[in-house]
Amino acid sequence: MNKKNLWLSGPYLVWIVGFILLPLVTIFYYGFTTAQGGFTFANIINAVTDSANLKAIGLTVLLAALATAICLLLGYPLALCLSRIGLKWQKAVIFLFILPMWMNFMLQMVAINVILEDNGIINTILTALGLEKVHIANTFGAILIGMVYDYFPFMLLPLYNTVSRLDGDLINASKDLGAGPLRTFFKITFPLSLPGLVSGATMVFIPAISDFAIAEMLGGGKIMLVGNIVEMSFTKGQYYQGSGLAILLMAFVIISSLITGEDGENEGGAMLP
Amino acid sequence: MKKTGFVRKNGKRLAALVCALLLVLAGCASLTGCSSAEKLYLFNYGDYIDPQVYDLFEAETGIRVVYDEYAAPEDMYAKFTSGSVTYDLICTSDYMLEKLIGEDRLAPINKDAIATLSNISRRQWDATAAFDPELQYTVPHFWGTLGILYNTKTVTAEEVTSWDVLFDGSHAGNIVMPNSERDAFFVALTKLGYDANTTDPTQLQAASDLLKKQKADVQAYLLDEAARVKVEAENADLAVIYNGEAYLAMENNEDLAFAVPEDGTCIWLDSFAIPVDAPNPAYAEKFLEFLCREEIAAMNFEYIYYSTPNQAVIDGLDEEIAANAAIFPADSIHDKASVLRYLGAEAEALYSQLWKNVKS
Repeated sequence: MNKKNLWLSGPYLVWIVGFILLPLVTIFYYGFTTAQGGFTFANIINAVTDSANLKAIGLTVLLAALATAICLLLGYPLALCLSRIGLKWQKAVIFLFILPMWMNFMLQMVAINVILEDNGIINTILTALGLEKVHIANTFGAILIGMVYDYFPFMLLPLYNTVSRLDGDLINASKDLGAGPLRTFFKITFPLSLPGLVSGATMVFIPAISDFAIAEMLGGGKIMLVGNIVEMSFTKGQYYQGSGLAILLMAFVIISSLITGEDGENEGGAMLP
Repeated sequence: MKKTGFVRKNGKRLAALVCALLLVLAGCASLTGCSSAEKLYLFNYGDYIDPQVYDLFEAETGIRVVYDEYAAPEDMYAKFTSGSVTYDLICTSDYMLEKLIGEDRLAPINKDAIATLSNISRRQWDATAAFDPELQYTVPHFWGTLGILYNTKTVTAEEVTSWDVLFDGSHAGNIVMPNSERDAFFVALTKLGYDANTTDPTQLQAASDLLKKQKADVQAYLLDEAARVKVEAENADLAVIYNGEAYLAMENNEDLAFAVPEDGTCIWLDSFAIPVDAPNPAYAEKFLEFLCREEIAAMNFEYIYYSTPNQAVIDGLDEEIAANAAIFPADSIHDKASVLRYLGAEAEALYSQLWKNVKS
């Protein structure tokens, strides 16, 4: 870019300072100080030693990992199928999966609750069929369903982008050289789709690990994730403890992006079909 | 082409202009930046005054009410104390008012200037004295009681005469508890026979243990509307809820009823107060005078259906509504009720920690 036009980035610089740097500095300030103003590690230590926090950390990582795994198990076969049908159909199916994202998030969660509720749609159908009711509403399972529903498109799109661009010649070559379908899959298709897989997994795992809204709306307030404790600390004015936990969450996010970072980068920009 | 030339030549000046504009915008974002003479800045719970009241007030006095809304008193406190915005009038709950009074953030109200205050019932002032002992800082807006909303098809009136029904396992999986630490602890403390405003760590720990044990039987921790809808849709049998919400639920589902357990309840009072740094306290007093008029208080009452402290409104009501125990709890309940007090920062932190343990 022309050096003279650098000032055009001014508005964004204001944005970056006001809405990215300042909040970060504030979080770190509160995270490493006591209410009296002295430097301390106590907030960070408390974040990983308090029994309620520990339980929340365990639940959060477990939920995020399960949601990622389920999205992957649902998304990968779908992406493979998609890559084998006509382009028009591919676009139509992808469109259908993106469609719910245009709906208001609250509405999605309320709808899921209505479906899962004790007298909800699933249980009404089960009762009509003379079967036992299932209790899913306000449980760990309900949150998991909500996460999978909400984050699935973020898994599908990168996977689809990678898989649909696989070089068909490579697969044909593998078959010509006598490899069976299984061997072709494990030696050619799977390794080549790894970048999309990693990118998809990152894009599900990272928002899932810092989520609090899904847990709040589908967990009935009975399950506390790290995000919920952060939210609770800040609304109760306990900025120091809340910031300690928020820093811990950031560390989780940074670590998981470092692990997956290099492969993930390629596909992140190619999200939309 | 011409345009690019212009930009190139006047680039620096343009940049300065853009920056200046941004600064002005930032200034205006905070209310104080653009305050004008004829505006009253009000900070209130969401949907707590009939919007028509603002129009009527403006038509009569020429003062425009600019209002901000918040959901929880803690949010209000955070924004109010940040100093980025100054308000002429705030409305919040008892314990939060006590905290604000204690921190010298409220100005005494010139009550002689507000003739319509005589409409507020004696009983309300008595209750107000729990957090505003000299009655100098606050004017009541609405009040209510905590009780149990229940489905008469599955729960008997006999059962809900005591909070025990929530802890004896008889309605396991069908109980909705309030998602608010003070209200949830209130129920447990009352059941254990302790004072609602105790700060004794052993008593609070006992209440916390009780709530933790109860959690397996609780279907969800929800507040207000969410709790009401749960019982209305018959996805839960019982909910600990405030009376105004219960009244709405009973309107929507005739199988529901509301009871205040005889072992005690807590009442809340939401009142108005004028901050010490209010730019226009005189406007605030004018608005309070307006709000306490019988016809205006009646409008607000019919908008919210919480218990009104305005005796003139109560006297003018249909007997049927006035006799509705969900809106106007009996005197015997009022006399036994506690008002939740501000317990100090240390006790607040203990409460939060124990509540976190219950919920995790």
